[in-house]
Amino acid sequence: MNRLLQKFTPMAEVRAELDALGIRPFGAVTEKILSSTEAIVDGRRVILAGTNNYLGLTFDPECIAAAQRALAEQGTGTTGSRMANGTFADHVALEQELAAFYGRRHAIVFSTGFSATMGMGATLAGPGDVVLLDADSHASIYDGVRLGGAEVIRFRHSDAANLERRLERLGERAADALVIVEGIYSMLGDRAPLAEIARLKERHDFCLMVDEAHSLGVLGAHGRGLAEAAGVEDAVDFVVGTFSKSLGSIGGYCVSNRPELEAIRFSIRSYIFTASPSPSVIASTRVALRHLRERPHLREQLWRNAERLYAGLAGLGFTLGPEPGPVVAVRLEDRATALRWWPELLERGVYVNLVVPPASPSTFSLLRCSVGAAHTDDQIDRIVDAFASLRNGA
Amino acid sequence: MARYDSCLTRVLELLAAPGKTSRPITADSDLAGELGLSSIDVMEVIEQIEDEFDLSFPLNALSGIRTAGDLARTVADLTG
Repeated sequence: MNRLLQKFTPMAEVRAELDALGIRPFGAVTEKILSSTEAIVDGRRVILAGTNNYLGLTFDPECIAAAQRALAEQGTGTTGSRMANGTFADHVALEQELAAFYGRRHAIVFSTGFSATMGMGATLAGPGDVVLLDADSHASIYDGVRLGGAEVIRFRHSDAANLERRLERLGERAADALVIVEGIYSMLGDRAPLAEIARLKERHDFCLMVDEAHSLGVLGAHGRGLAEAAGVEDAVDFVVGTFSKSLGSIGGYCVSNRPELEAIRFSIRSYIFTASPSPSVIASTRVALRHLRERPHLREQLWRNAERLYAGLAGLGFTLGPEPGPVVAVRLEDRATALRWWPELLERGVYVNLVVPPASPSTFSLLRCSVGAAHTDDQIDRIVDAFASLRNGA
Repeated sequence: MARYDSCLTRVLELLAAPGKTSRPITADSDLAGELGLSSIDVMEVIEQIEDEFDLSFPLNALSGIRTAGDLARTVADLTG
């Protein structure tokens, strides 16, 4: 047993280091949530600048009312799988609404975004198949494709030429390959070069899956994500995503024009062997999706806020992700500085996400900010001011 | 064997690059435990190998790699 548990020693040492510093960045306790942009965290009133609440819908009165109605009328949970007793009329309605939103024929609703992405990756590609994924892919993508047993090859982050070279090495196998990219990458907030990848698909005819978790409601004229923004929706075979960011709840989905999706549905273990989403979650998600469609001004406000924060932090001389967007990551080469600044930001009334290796994409650390449509100009300026005071005091 | 030897020579050179590790490296060196390399360090070396040898390194092969020699053997197999 000692050997079994020994591998956790390095993680225990990190935990001890953080305890010694008196900080709790990984699991900070939100003692009271005040709104979609403010909370009491570790005893301090803070602006929430690290919650992925892109459209600010978590306190939307209509979403809350719908969830409360569903709770009263349908109970606290389904207590069963979608494959058994856990498919309620509202699950089916949400699938139809998602399919209509994306203009695709088929949709599956999952209990979490992780189980959607992981499940699709694990199920689409099995032993003998090959998957090519971006090096900065989310853990759910890595875990899924490994679980499926396919040969997994990663290409350099957002490097279409590197992907092309790997497709060429595969020869005829490329036509049966699954390529997976993300609309917006969660750590640095940059986008996949999807138009270039769609052109590669014309030559190699692989299957393309795009995770729009961070780009749903953010990119595209209708908020459908990067595929819409890049004008290549027809090239994308499977879109996966989550309800836990722009839609302010929890759950995941996959949409596709491929008729095989209905057969795939009955093969996805993370769909079959888990309870379906609670009725209240489905109810609020349906209203949030309607808001996403009917309130484009939320997306416009989100982008104004994103550009204000990006410009403010760039103006201070910080190294940021490569392009403005709702994820604005401050890159720090020195891990110790990141560990010191995270609690200092909290003391200055700003909560952000601390990301250190190996969770960060390379050897650097990140103070990862995310903004939403609900942030005010004043709140954005206070976030920038907090970083400025750190800079000046450093 | 000749292919393995040449792969091992290059793997040892790449692992000895500045900033990776200051410890002496042999075929039997444990990459994580003995040399203290992080997963990011190992992936950087693998990317260099991919470019130099014009190959794609399946992530599935990583689970069987503990030492520098294991890495060289996998590269030799992939180029074989």
